[in-house]
Amino acid sequence: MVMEPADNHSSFVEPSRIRVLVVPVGKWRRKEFVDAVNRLKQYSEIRLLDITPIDSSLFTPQGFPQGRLFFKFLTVGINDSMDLFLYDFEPFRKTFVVIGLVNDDSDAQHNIKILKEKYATVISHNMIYTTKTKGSGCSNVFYSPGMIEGLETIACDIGKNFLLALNHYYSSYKHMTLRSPGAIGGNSVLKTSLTVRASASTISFSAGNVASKRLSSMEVTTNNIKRSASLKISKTLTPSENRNQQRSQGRQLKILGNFQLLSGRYKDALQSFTEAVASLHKIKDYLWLGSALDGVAICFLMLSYLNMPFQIPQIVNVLCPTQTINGTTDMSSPRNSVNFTPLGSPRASSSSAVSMAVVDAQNVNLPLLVKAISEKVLYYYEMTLSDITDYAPQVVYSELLLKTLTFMVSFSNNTELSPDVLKSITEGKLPLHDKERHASIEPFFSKPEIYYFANKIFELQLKEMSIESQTRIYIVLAEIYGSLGFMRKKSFVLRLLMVALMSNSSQMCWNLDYKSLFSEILILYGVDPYCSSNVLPFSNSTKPTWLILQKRCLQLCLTVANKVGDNESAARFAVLLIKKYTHLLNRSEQQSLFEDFLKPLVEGGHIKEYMDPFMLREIKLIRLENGTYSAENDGIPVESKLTQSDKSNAPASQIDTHEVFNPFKEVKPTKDSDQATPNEMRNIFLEKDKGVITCVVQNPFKFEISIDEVQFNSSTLKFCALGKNNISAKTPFIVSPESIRMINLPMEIRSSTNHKWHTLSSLKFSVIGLPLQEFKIVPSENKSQNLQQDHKRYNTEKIEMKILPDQPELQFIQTKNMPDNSFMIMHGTKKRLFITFRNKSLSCSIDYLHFSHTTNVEKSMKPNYWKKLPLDDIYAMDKQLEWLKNSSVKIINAPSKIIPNETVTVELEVDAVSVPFQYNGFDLWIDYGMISGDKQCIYLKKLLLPFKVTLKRSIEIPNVELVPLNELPAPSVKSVDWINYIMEQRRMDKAFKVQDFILLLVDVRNSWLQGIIAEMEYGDFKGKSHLIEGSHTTRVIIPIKKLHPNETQFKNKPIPRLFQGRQYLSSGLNVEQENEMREKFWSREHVLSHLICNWKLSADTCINGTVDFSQFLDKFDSRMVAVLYHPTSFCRISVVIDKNKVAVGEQIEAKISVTPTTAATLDPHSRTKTKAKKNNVMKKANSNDLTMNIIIFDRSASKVLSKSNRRILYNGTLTQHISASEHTQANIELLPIEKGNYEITACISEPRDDELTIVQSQFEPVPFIVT
Amino acid sequence: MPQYFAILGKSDNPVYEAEFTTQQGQQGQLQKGFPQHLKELNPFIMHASLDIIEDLQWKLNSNVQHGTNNSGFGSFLRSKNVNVTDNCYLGKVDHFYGLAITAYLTFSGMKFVMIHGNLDKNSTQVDDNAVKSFYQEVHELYIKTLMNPFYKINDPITSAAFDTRVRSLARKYLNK
Repeated sequence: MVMEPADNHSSFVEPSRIRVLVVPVGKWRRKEFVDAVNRLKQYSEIRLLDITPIDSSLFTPQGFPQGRLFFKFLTVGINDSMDLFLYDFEPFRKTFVVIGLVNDDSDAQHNIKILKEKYATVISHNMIYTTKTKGSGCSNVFYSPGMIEGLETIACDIGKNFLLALNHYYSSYKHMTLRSPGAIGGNSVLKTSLTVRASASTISFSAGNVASKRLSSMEVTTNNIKRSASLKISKTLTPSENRNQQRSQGRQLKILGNFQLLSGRYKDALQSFTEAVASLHKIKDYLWLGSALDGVAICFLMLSYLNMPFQIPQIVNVLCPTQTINGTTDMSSPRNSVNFTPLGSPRASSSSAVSMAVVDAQNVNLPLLVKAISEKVLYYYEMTLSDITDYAPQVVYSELLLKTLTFMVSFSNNTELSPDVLKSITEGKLPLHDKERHASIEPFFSKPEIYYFANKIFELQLKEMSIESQTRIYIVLAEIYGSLGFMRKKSFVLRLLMVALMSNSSQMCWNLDYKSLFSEILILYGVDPYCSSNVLPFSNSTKPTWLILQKRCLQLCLTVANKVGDNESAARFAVLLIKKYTHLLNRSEQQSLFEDFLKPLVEGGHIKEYMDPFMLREIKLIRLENGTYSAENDGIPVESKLTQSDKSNAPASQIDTHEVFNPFKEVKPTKDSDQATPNEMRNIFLEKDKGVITCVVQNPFKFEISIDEVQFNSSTLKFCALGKNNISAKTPFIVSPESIRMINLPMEIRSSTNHKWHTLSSLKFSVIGLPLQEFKIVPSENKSQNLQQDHKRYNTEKIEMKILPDQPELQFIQTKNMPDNSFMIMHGTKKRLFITFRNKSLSCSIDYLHFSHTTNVEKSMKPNYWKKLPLDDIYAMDKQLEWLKNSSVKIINAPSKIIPNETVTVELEVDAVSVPFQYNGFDLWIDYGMISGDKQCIYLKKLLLPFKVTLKRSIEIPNVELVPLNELPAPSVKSVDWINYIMEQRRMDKAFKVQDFILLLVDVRNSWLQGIIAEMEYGDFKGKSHLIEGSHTTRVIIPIKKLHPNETQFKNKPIPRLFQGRQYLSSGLNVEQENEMREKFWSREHVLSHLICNWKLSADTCINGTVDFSQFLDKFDSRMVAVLYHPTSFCRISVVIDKNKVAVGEQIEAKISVTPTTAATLDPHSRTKTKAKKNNVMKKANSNDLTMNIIIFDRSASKVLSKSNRRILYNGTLTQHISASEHTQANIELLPIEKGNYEITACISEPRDDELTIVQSQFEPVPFIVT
Repeated sequence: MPQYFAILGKSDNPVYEAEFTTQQGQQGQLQKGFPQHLKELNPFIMHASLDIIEDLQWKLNSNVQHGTNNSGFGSFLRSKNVNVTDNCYLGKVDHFYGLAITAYLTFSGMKFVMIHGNLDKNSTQVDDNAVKSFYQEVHELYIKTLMNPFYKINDPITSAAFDTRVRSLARKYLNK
């Protein structure tokens, strides 16, 4: 089926128009042809005045120069055979003229011949050459280059040709018996079938009711006339002959009227029609009578259009009684008059009509008359329905309805029959609906009236009509409703049209103009068919609509579009439907939508985009481990910016005051490496890595979707690509209905992003056979209420990934002579290790190397180990830790660069001198890396080498003692080293006093299996070497010079801190205790600093070591400290005796003098420094409670002789009160009465707590021997 | 005689839809609804008839003397002089083939529309008084629904109670 454009369908004056078919000859482009036809259409109205007269009395234009020819140019051929049966009855349906538009130089005669062959039924054949200017002189060949000039002349000449042909054509009808369509077509002609007419009167308040009432009343009227008319005729003729003759005459007149209407001779046509009406009425040939009456009405309108006066024939006035204008007062409300006047008083109007023989057209309300005539015609047509042959075909009936409707609607903007209205009627145009028009103008025909008239259409069984007729009816009806402003009605009619088209089984060819029908109906139902780019699901739209209607309407349009092969529209509708109305479609609907429409449309390439933006919900990247990595982060280096590293090196060594000391913290080039969170670390890859990409895809629809291909977007493809494996080979991936699934695909990392982060925000998918399309990662819906146009419906997500360039890899090969990196070491010795490394990479060199180590001691420490420890302990610990950190392992020759595949040997020295006994190993950390190509940053990796150490004990110091030395040892034992040393000192030093020295007794134990030769040193004292057998202990004596308290000032020196920054370290001690601690601490430090012990194995002197005394020496107690010092005295006590050797009974005189020392009282330096003690002393010095005691020892028994004994008698007091500030001298006489070895000394004591306490004693007792 | 009834909002949105069928068991009738093709078509017919209803909605009542019941169209007027609920009922406003459409307008502009089907091929008979009573009572129910503070105007009415009551009203007045 071929559908024509929708315009010019049902003009009321359609029978006055000549159908002209324009066909292209030659090779035309469609647009050019349409342009040419449109230009031709400008001259569709030709005045008869302009046409050359022809030799025909009936049709010569001269006969009625005011008349017009109306051409109806068509470009689409009408199937002649379809309407053939109507050509007798309604000859204007025939295509009379064919015009060939030629745009090449083909032969005119030949072309005409072809035209005549092709369009044999057409009576006038014409050619217009658009390229040539001149040619053969044929009367039906015209030349108009470019279709610009001379078109009007050509149109006139075509008109003339037509009139000539018409004259010829009519002559063939002259002697023919005209038959009704039903008689010609037989059963193929569809009889008008009214469904509800019979019961229409029962519908309450319907217009049908009104109409039928009206008709029945008219029947009464006309029956009266008929009766009177038939009476007259029956008198003159025999019934049967008369009837046949009159019928054929009437029919001839009617057809002549039609031809005259076509040829523009309206007056003659009116005459012919009127006569036809008169004679046909007499014989009750209702079908032809109706048609003739219709012709009369058309003539009225055409004559009005030409603005010519005419008279209403009497017969018309009788059949359709109308009210004349003169005398009527209420013409301003024509609706009322139509509704009620003819109905209310039919008898009165008929009588008035009878009285008026001929009415001048000026005095008649023409629109009402025309409508009345139309209604009459309808009535007559209905009368024919009982007839077997002479019945009104449904096509005729329905078109009369339609054209009457268009006529009525033409007045919707006007109250009178103005030239504008007439022009629009003749042109077949309908006024546009004007919303502003309300109420101010009361048109001839009210909306309800037109509407109810229009509803008559639905009393016909339209379904049985041909699809062309149905289409025409529905389209015109839609236009009428549109013109009335009944947009919903219009959409409803369009929907009926769609249903009709859909149910039509035959193949249809689609005129492009019909595409607008789709958008029209969809817009009317509130669907925006062109918004597919930004479709929101219904829930987001705020305005409530009737969604079911929209959905069904879309489905309908889709089916029709698919049927007529309009794939573009079908694609749009299908996508719109699935996008916007997903929730309204049930499973089977969605599945059939997919199978029947979406799939074929996708395959045909009409759908280019996937329908749902929520395709990709999540992406995860996982790195596959493809090797053995000894270091952390699976071989992914830590990246740090080089530019930053320069700056941050300084602060890295500077200790943050808020940070507690952390000895295991490795100093790294920058702090960047610490900040990398695990989340960020996750998406770091190395060049040439393999990975897995996991995409979570969603299928919101109720059918399965297939994903045929997955691809990275172009920006990502530079860096990585999807690889192939067993999984990826299993395409397509099927996502089952309304589900989410995960797809894992292998990923190959191709090139490095260097230090930049690459953002992965989308993936490309090929879904349901569509080409690859980019989908953003959409984790959630954007649910914000005020959804703007530019805002997306969804929130997007990005994944950051980084691909680092190929990295060098440091590989540990071996340690020389050391399996498993574990070894034994003797405490106090050092060992060298040779470790071999290799740069495994063949392309990248290691540009940076840094060695560090951690021992197990450091690891086992708690970070806050220093809390609640006294300061001296902290110092001891810190010192050890510092040593462990700095000195326990030394790199002798660290390489700075290793080129690819190079092997290097690093020499290490492990020092076990000061390690604690729990030491059992250390970890060697090697930070290495390369500098990126652009020198922007450095990539660092770590290699960890754990070493296990078994510490073997060698020399230990279990005990140390300090003993004061009071007298010179016997020089006979000069071979003893320390005695020798003291003797040496004595010889060298004039002021030598033996009391200046103390002895350090060191117990040295050899815990090793073999003998060890140990040598001790203290200051300038070098002891001789001692051979100590395995598991034996030797006491070594070392002479130490006493310290002078004024020189050292230990009390004033605070205990140092190795690590600053520990705040609020409080010992909880008072000043005195603290001083005491300092004194002890510094005394020990003093001893340690001088004490050296080196040893070697007696068997293997290569193995040697030193002893770290600080590990073994306990803290000094106060007695040891006191021993170490010279005594401080506030007075000098001297004891002098006259003889050192006496016999028994011989008297000895001893003089004891106590002299206060100036140093104690006057030295300001000492006073300030040791204020407390000094004050104490001064107090004592000033008191008179001091007593001087004289004590006599028995040296051999080391006993003090009691005050009254039998060995030595004395004269005087042994105890004497003295004053500290004054010089005191006492003399005593002694008389020994027993032999022995004695010594005499003196001390000063004070009473304290009822006891005598010795404040000061004389250090050098004076010996004497009694023989 | 089945009916298709709907309450439509101002932007042609359905607020409530229901199809009433002849009750089972009465005079041995089975439940008879609309045939399937009409079920599809009914919303479209109703939608199309809204044009007529809106046309009638603002029409001045030029023939008051006829009363609302006697005139097919153009009879709706919001006048204080007329009994208010009387002129809400528009009567039969439209027809499509054998189907008749009646309408009722609330004061807020909600449209109660009903398509009266016919079981046999004969044209539909509409008992105006019964239909009007039905509409008036549904109007009352609708107003009660509106008074629900949780109900927003133009939202679909999902209350089961409303549905049950409307259906019982339909049984009472329409499908006796």
